[in-house]
Amino acid sequence: MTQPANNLATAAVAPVADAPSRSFWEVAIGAYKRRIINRIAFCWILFLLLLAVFVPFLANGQPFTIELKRTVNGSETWLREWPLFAQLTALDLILLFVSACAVAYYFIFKRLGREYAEREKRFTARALALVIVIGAAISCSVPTLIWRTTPLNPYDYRTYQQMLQTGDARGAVFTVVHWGYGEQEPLRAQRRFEGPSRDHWLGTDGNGRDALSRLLWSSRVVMGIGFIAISISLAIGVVIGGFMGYFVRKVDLIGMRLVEIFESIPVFILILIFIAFYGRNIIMIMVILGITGWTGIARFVRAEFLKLRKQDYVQAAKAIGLPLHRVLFRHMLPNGLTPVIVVVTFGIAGTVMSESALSFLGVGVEPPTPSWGSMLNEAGNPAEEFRWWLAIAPGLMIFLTVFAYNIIGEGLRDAIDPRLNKIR
Amino acid sequence: MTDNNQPLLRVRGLKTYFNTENGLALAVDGVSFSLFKNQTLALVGESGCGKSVTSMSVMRLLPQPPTIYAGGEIHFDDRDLLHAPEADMQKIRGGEIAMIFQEPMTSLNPVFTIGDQIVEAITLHQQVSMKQAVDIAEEALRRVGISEPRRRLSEYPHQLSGGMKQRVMIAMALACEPQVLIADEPTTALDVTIQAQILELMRGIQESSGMGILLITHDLGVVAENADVVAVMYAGKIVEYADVYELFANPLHPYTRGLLNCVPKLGGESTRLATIAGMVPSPTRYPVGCRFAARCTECQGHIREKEMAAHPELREVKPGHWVATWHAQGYESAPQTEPSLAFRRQRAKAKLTAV
Amino acid sequence: MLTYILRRLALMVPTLIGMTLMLFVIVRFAPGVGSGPGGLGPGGDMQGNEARLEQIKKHQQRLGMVDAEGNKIPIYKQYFIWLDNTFKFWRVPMASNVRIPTPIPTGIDLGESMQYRKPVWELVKERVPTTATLNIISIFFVYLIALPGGMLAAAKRGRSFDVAWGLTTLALYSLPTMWIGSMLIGFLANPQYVKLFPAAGLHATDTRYMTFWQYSFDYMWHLVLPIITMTYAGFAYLSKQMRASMLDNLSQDYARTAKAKGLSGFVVATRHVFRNSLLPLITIATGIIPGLIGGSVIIETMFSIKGMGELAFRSTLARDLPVMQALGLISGVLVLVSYLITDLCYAVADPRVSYD
Repeated sequence: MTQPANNLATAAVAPVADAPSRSFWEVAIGAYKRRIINRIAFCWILFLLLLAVFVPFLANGQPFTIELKRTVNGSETWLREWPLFAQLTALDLILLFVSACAVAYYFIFKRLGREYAEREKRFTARALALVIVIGAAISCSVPTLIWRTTPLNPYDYRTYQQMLQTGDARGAVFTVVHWGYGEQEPLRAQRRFEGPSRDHWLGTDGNGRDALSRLLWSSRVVMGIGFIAISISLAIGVVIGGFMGYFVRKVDLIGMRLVEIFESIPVFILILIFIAFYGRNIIMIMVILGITGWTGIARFVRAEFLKLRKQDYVQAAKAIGLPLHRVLFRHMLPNGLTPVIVVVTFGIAGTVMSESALSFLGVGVEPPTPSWGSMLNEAGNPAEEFRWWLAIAPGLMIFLTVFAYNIIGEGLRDAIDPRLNKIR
Repeated sequence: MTDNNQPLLRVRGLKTYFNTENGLALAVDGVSFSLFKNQTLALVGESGCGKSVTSMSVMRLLPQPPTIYAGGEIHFDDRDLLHAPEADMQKIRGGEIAMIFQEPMTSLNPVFTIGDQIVEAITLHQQVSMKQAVDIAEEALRRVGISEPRRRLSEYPHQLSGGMKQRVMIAMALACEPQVLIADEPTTALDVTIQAQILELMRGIQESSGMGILLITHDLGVVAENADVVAVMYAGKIVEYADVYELFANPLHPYTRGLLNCVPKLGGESTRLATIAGMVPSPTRYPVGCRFAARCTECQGHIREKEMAAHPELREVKPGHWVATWHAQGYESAPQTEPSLAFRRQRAKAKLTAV
Repeated sequence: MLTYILRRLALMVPTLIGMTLMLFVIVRFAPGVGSGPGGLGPGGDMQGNEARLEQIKKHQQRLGMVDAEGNKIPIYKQYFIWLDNTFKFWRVPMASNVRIPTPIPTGIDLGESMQYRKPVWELVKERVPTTATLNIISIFFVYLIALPGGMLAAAKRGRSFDVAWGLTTLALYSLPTMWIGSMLIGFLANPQYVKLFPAAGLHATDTRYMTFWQYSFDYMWHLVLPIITMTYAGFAYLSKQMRASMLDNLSQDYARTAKAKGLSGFVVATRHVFRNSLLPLITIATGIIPGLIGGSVIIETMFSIKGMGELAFRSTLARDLPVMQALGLISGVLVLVSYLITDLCYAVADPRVSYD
């Protein structure tokens, strides 16, 4: 309701705009957060990201620590070993390190906020990037150089249990889900396609591997493919779309033909061709999904740039003689990318679906790398032996992930689009 | 039908509020006026003062969820339009009260022909056959001065210029011979020569049909030439209400005086353009006292408690001249009657020169 | 208008050339292709067996990779030979034995499938009706449900129906097709649980002795599960588009004018606003034309329906080059033609658009 403006001076000086000024993104994020389903979707994706990073500590056949009876110099001693940590791969370490840096980044910038000027923020950003790169390089080399001096234990959970029972081992601490995703063992084949049990909470798949563990490890594949493929699409799409939108006529003509060529290929078939002919390779899948998905982004960027190039500030930038790349990247791109965020989010959803479909058809990631799609495949011929436990869980995960991304995309679109918020 | 002493349209204490994310916006906060036959009432004010909302409220065109008709009455034809059922309102819109809008370029549906749209309005309110409706439409187009009206009926809006589109809008509005025409800034989007033609057209039609026109504008020149009665609005309330000659000759409200000052005059010595200092208060956070006090030249430096305590009401300080300010002579003793000015003068108006 | 159409058709040519060339190069350079349908994996598998080598050479000759003497033909020549074989360009006879090729095609020959040993055109003719039926029925249901849903959501914007409808369609869109398909088959077509619908194919095994009604009913019964699987995901996009379009137009000035004329909200929405909101939907409707080739691969594979998608899938896995190239060409033509049709429909629907 009305508030008495007791101080006439303030009423006269700042009568209309007396709320603290918020940047465009703050307004958009605020509008986004208002609906509860948007927050839930965002939390789910965050949960999946954390899962992807920390899954070696959640689902691993190796225990965190165990004491083994070993013979050293003739006498038996108890050696405490840390098999889980010893068998962390370079990828695990890189992911851990990058997420630690991302969290640090976020908190530092929240603290810095508006107190620091642009220049200092940029310097800090570059310094942090350098730290990340160096840290990632170190993480890559640590497993190979340092940790692999100890021999890997080829044991799995059952062997450890036997050793614990016979007294060859003690003091073991296992992860929550005490199976890995790709363990092979002669006894494995006997435990194929089991239903859910106390040992295997979600049953086993066609190779006797624990379904729940594979479910959790798939998050890495799915999130990884999603992000990398979209990054490739984004890079290609922004560049081509930007050029098309900025230099019209000839470049636009050629560019539109390129877009049409890539759009007229049935994407699915092209991916099938690549994978069927050139072999299955997770990098190739990412690259191809990226290369075939850029057309939507290019169209959006082109439309935005076409609109922007007539804006006054672009003309002003050109008039004072800024070089072309500065005009494009510093002035036009930040403004033109706003609708692209929405397309990117939907693109990630689409990529996750595509990857699942490909894995389901048998042309996705190769075993033993798990993927929700290939787990669905193993549910068997639905008309005959239908292993529902292998069908419901991965399908549900695909659904929830794609749904969450779609909700985020919708929410961002509603938050960004000013027209839908206007009161008439 | 009403005789000349009863107003066609009588608005009393209209309150229209909006539910926004920043709070309740009091767009129209107690507005009263009366419109008589053969009379043009001009509603003047800055952008955002509530004049468009007033006109839309009369027709009840505002979407209900964010809009709240919080109070007041609108008397038309022995009915209260604020509480009439929607079916009655649909009969009144276009049939008894017609409205034309500011943007002729976008006010016509681009995928239907002109003829389709006018005939639609006609068949909605009159029981005529299709052929008769087309004839009426053609006649309406001829009346607004469009050449080759028969051919125009089958053209699309994008084939016409802005001025012609506004004429088509007027033709559509008048096709059913309404008693009241509400013109919401009809000439703001047109250039000056077309503006003059459109206004002259409206005056001509008013003379022949005797309808009342509620003219909404922010252009004082248009007011001087076309209005009989003027109501000046500020921050959701009417602050001055008088006959047009009276208003231009003796503006009593500081805001009106400021507005008249702002009009640049030809032939004077060139000095700086005058402005009214300050900004319009936000409709969600109006001050309790006089809403103009912060910008008022009379109040500057003298903040009296009376101004802060209550908003001045519209009072008849002189016969036929209402004003809502503490600074008018004899304001405290003036009676608080309802603003309603019957048409008192003959049509022949001398053109006003310097104001 | 005619010049516009001709210009668009002319612009289609470089796009088609680009697309087919890309497809051509990709498949011809792939390892294992030249070795024929012996089921060789990527990387090939040369065994030095005389009979095997001879077989491979014959296969390569048939594909056009190797000429009569056994020398390899360079890839660009291969492409032109393929173009010539497919389109049979008209050759102007000049002097004796000299014929100048012109870029005017005189006929289309899509080649012969290696897997099925039938002309590709026949395969296409067999399968297009199936895929087309599936797609058209599916699109019909999608429009039937999504259009009114979108309009209602726009009319009750912000209220519970709008939010619920939006979430539901989005959830349906996010359900993976193969999951839903296998769940439907697994629970509804499975003797283990409930065998309500048939699991595969579009006809029962023995249809010769059925009456017309029995045949139709059997056909429809077989169609239920595939159509459900195809349709459910389509509501979201169309409904969202309709809603956004309607909201956009509801706030336009002409909607306000129509209301001010005295039309009821319902008439304004269904007559004025709907007409204007249709325009983006045209693009969506014509977008199903390209889907006739590869759009329903998963569904056709899961339900063992012999359609175009299944053909594409199988021939890809079997490295059946003529079929793949022919399908690529058809797909490209369909997509470009659908663009052209979209533009023409726009010209009809929106009087502001003119291509003169």
